[in-house]
Amino acid sequence: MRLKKYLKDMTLVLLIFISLILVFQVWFSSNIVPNEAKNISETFQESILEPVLSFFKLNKNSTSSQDISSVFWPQKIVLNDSNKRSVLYYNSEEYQHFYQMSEDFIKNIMLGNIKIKSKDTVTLDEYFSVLKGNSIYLDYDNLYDFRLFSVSICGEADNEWSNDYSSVRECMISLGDNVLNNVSVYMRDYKSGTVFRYILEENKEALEKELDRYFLSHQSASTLSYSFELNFHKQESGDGSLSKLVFDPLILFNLVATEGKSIHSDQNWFQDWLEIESSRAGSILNTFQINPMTMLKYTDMNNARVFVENDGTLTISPNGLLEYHALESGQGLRIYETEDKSAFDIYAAASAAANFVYAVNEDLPKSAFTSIRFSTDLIENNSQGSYTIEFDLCAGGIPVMQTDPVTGERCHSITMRIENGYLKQYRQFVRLYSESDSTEPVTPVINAMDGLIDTLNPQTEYLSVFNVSRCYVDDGAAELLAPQWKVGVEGIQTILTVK
Amino acid sequence: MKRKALQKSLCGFFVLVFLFSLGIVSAFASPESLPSDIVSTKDGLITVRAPETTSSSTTNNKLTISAVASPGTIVTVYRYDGNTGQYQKIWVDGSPLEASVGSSWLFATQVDLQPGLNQFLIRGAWDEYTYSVARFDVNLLKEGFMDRVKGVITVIFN
Repeated sequence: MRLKKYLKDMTLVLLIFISLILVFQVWFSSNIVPNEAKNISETFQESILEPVLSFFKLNKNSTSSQDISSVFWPQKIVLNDSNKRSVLYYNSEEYQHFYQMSEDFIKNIMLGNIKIKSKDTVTLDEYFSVLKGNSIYLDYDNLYDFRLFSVSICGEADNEWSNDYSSVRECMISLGDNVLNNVSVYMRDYKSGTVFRYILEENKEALEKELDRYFLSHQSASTLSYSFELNFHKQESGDGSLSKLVFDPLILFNLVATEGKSIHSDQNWFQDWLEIESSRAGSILNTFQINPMTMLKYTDMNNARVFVENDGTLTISPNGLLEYHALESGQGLRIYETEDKSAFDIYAAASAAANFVYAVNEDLPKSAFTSIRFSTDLIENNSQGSYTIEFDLCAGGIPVMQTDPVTGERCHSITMRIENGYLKQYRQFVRLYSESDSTEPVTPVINAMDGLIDTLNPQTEYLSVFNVSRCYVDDGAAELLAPQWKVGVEGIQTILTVK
Repeated sequence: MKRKALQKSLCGFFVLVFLFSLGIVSAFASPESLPSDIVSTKDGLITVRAPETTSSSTTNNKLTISAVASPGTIVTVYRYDGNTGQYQKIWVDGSPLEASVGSSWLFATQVDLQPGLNQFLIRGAWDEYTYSVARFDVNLLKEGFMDRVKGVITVIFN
């Protein structure tokens, strides 16, 4: 009898508890209560739920280094021999081989498994001269907060090097030259401008053997020169004459035309993919936390599916354009949870962005030929808490620039605007690229620059070029995309591309 | 009869145009060789950026040459030939090391060095008679020499 009463009480308590949760869910996840009242929900989450979850380590902000390293990798790896030079792009076997080897090497230094014999600072000239000898140069192409570099390499945001670096863009492993046998790692902190050299207590044989193996099996003549070797990084010549163009010292010039693979763009796959199974749109909705039971749904004049939830609108266009906009009156989608808003810095934003992009793309079809990587500088700016984070979809390791359907300008494949942990805007060009058998000539950088100036204004007196790298351009119409150059010029915000 | 005369004069016109264009091309093409004592007819048409000095040594058997010149300048690279006592235009894979500078004002190329002393001349020309020349020497050191240097350093540091 007592047992029966006890069971009844327990059932009653359980039912009350469940009803409370359901009421909470219905009230605070819908339009029933005004926005002001939602602050109660957030206060509850921030003051009670998060501390409890973090106590049990169930907080979903736990940064996954796996997600970061999947979108944070060198745009190119340059292997340098005293007489030869070769560029490796992601997706190639050799890239993966040398990246894994270099990553392991740096990781072991960071974790203290490889002892540092000495550490000192060197001049920029000495730093650049590393690339004239046997060396491996990891070029990340953009400036990154050091914690992103660290977590992608060794899985931890902080390590012994954290005090030396704020923002980094590249890393060089020097295997010495004919004279010196030291193996050293060089890194430049872009905030202070200091270049650190770590001379290691490590035998260089393994790395050197791999470099030799590569150059023995790839005998083609190298015609690549860095800007600093050509003295194109200085505006003034020895005789006082001025240059029209000044380049970043580490920009690599191909001095003769080479061959580059074209890629194939499948224009119609997204519409077909969505129509095969209605649940496919559901997985995207789920990531954007849009509840199919409470949302409003309609199809607009462009045949795009529009989903309206209380905090934002998600549009899925048949051409593969995915756009989310937070309502002006709403806060947007919460993708990072924190009690302290000042803790939401560039590292937290980039981590949250990487996790979110990973989640969106998890259910989308992808090929081994394509990959996603961060595409803009990720360093702390003046508007702490508000960040625009962009990603490129890369085909064969080379970024594919998209064409903005409104402005017609070049843009990145994914653009996110995040404010204090809330996603305000998300745009992704969902694309599918495959390898093509056709090749196209890749014009020498100098000829590309001639073309660029002719396009901009031949009368231009001075331009400072900070980036020249390979890309493809998808205008949404062409099926075969030829290799082009992406050029970054100081003072010009738009992405410039030239054949 | 009239038609034949017209045909003849048209043919003559095209032949003249062809010969004239040939003349222009040959007038702009740089000479195959230059005397060792050649001097600039106009200064400042070209500024050599790399190598930075007029005399240098290296162990790298490839040399990068860069220069800055105004658009339209024809830049040609020559190497001194001890047998003829003249500078000879360098040809690589059937093409001369020669380019017309574009809107970027930039010129760059790469040459293979021969062991020992290599003497180069860069000619930047607006036309056959208006040009600047710049000379520089590069000494390619043998590996054996570097090995001896390495040996000395090893002895010192050990």
